[in-house]
Amino acid sequence: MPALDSEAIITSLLAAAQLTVSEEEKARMVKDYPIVRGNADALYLTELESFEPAVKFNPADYYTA
Amino acid sequence: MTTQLTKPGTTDSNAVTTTASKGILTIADAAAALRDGTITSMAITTDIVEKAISLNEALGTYVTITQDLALEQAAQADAAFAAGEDRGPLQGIPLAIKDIIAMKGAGTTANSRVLDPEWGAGTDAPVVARLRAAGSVFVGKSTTSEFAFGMPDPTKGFPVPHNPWDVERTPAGSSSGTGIAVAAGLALGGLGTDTGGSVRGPACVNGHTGLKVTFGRVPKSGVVPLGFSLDSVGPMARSAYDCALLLEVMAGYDASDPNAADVPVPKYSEFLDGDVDGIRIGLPMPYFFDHEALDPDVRDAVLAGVGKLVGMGATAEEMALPYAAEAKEANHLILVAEAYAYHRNNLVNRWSDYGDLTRPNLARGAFYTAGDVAQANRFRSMWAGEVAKAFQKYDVLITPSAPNPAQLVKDMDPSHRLVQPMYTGHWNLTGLPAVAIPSGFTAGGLPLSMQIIGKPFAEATVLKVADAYQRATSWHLMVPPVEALYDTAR
Repeated sequence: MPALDSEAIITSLLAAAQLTVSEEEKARMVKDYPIVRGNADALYLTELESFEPAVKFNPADYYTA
Repeated sequence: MTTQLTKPGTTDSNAVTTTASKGILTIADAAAALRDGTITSMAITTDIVEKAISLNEALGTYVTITQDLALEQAAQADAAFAAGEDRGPLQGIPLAIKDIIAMKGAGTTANSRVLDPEWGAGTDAPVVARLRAAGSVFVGKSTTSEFAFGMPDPTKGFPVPHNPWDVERTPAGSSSGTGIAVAAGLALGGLGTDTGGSVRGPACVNGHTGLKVTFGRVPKSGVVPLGFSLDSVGPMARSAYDCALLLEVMAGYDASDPNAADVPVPKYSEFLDGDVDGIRIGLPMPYFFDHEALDPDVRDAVLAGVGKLVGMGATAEEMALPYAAEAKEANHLILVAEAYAYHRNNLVNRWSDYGDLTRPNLARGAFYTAGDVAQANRFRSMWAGEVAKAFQKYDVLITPSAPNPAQLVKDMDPSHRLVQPMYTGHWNLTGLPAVAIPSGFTAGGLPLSMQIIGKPFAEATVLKVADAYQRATSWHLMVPPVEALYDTAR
């Protein structure tokens, strides 16, 4: 897996989110990003690839009897 | 039940020798005293309000102290007693209301410059209305982490909360103020909210009891949201018995909350008989008991507590819950994603109005992908199934409430929270009830805590086990050394 360019990624994500942060805040975000990304990636378990029910939704919840 | 309060410094929790002092009582004790005429609500309330005012700079307990309202409610409660009117054990009892919950008679700030000052103005959240109707006395709006999520930013002008056992240490969050109030006797109980541990964390480090209820057990309308699918409103008090008294009033369906469960509310206190004979306890060892970051003092105190319950007739068995580490991450990801959705427009337009340790944490919601959020919810389904399987064999699970005692504020690093273990958010992810109760003290006099988790809507069971433990111990009755702060304040 290629190394993350956290600086470039955070710069892009902040721009896309329209967030204007201080340099100090951005530096911490850049430092933390590999951990944040790794924690999210850890949820892509192979056991979950065919897990059911994945996410439940019941249209009837929106209609009164 | 007569409470005798004591101070830490002894390792024998049964060596309770000091009689009640400084006006700190349990709700149960106060309720009894109010009914036998040995005390009035006005006397309790006046003492508590005066102390709360004197100590607020040192402890940062309250955003607003509603002195006039409290004294008016206390007078009404005393008049009701005199007229033979009794609305139950909360009549005349001073409580703290977390400042993300709407309460008529005081504004709601969420400890933030961002929240509209008119939010919830002039209204009671349903849970507050129930407490008001039960004759409770509202001491004030208690300090919260900003929007129940950030850490204190002194530049924003809100009180900075401090741990009453050591003001250099964190009182934890986000229900910091209610936690401090209960520990220091600046309310006899109160309301917190819990999305990943915000009732149990303060209960843990401030040395009292806090119950995260089943999702939907208590209506959360009139509460500033953090994580829509994770939030809950829970009771905080000195004892499990007091939490039961609070929950009996707080719980129940309300149509204003689409997540409120239409499930009967038992009289929880009637289940608390001290009997744990036959209760089956599961101890999830991997992650919860063997993590390298877990303080041995915390682990040993929990295992000693389990040993005490086994000595009273419960059975305990080591077991494993797979994916515990991932469950912590899933709770965090869903929480941040839901919070970001709520705050997105204000983050764009009012970034600098948020506290300096709130806004970067909220912004993390922009760093996850849409797929990440869907995947976290798929994981949530699987995790809930794994936990449900465990509960086919056990009545309760017991874990530490947190890996460490209260940390020094100067040593706290927000980035560290991304990698350290946490033991509370797992049960928000599953929506299950979980109570944090004191389980001992460190050699340095800091509270330790254990967590008891139950099946959906089995608050009676987790409180029953907690109460049985508290009948055999007195950790929950230890009082922090606030006298020195009080003297300094005067």
